[in-house]
Amino acid sequence: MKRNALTRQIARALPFPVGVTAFWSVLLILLCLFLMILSTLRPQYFESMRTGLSDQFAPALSIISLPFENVSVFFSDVQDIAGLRAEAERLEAENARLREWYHIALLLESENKSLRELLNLKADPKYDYVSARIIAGAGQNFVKSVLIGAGAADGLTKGDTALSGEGLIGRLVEVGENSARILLLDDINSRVPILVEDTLIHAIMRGTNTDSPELIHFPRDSEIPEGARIITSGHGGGYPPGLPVGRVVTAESGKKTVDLFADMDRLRFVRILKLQTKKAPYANVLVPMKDEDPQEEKHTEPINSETGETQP
Amino acid sequence: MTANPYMPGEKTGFVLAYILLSMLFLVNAQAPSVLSIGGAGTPFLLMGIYYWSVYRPTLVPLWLVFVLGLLLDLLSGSPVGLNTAVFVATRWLVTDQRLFLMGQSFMIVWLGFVFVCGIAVSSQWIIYGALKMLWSASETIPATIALGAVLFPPVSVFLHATHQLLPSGSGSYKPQR
Repeated sequence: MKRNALTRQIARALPFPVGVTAFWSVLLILLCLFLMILSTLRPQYFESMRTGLSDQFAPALSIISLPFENVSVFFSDVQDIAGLRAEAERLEAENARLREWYHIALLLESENKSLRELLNLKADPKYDYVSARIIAGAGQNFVKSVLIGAGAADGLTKGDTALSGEGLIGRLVEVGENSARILLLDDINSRVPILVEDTLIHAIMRGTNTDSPELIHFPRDSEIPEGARIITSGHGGGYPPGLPVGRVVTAESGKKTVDLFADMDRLRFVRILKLQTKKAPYANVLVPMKDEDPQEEKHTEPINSETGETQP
Repeated sequence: MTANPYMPGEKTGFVLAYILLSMLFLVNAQAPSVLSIGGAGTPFLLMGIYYWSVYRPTLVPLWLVFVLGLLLDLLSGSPVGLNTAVFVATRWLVTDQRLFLMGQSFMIVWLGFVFVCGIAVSSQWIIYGALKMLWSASETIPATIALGAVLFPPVSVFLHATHQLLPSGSGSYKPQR
């Protein structure tokens, strides 16, 4: 009661007298504005809170998602039944084409291998996959991100790449113990260095919160052909090179946009790419010279750059 | 030992009302793709806050609205405070106008929600764009309003049924259908 009386007195003392509810509402809205600015400028302040909450709510969200997923599967099945005959014919034709490609791929693989051996080329790092189910977030309004039911306990780390069956979908931006958040390619904050296949034109793909991200930062005099395939360039190290992304489409405004291979509205399961062997964090640091400190000599052992373990 | 001020059935009404509000929160946080159009989600929690702000504001005190908004922001990955500010403002403004709204037919209350939903999603779009200095696709606004308008009647059926179980108290009003 005393607190209410105090609030009423403060509210009346203001240059523009307001009611108690209005006073608290305005105060909370101002607090929200402060939090918005803080979370935009310093998102890391809220990261542990977000991941902790996601871990706590993951089981409930997972249960809630099941009936919606079943409804989604039902509608998708109904659509599939309608076009089953046409789909079978298309698949038969595709299968015949793929069989031809399979033989070409085998030939190219052996040729590639012998050429690599000839050049003594450093092999690309190997990757492991972790498959996970999407438990929340496909239909958010302004943020294009999804929550998956796998996290650090499954070996996932921040920055890992996420793929669907068709192609790249984004990467992990928050990783909790049992859940992780993927920032999707179509989010307004997403930037991916890409390569236009065949033309070797480099560009950046920027999310626009629509189904079609746009291409920016490519040479002005370059001509990007309509329908050209887009893959990740691997520049900057954020994404591994060569992952399929989508095809180039020219919008009515003349902007080059990308028709993504992955259907972001129908994501159910994702694959997370993670390096098989992580590089040791200090693998590139020089080991101190042996004659600098005789006391240190016993403890100074070279570090194996592959495993990160010290070698006796 | 203090006596229970509510009848057993009335207490069930309160429990059901909060369970329903929690469900609306979870479905909003889960944001199922089957209930979205062109990347726009359905504002389920806004429906609950709007309905109770009109008919039973004591059920959704400001602090509860603030906490629910914060939890939703943290879970959905959006800037912290974006949904919260909209929920607090909705609760404040709708409570202010409830004397007009609560005696009206369902059609007027429904139109009121569509109006509130439009203001809410437009202000979110403006604030988000200003924060990021990038303007996302504005098609999200009409899509969200359309989803809110279509799904408010079925959701309000559950809210109304729960409301019938609540005891009549100060500041409460039971709409007649």
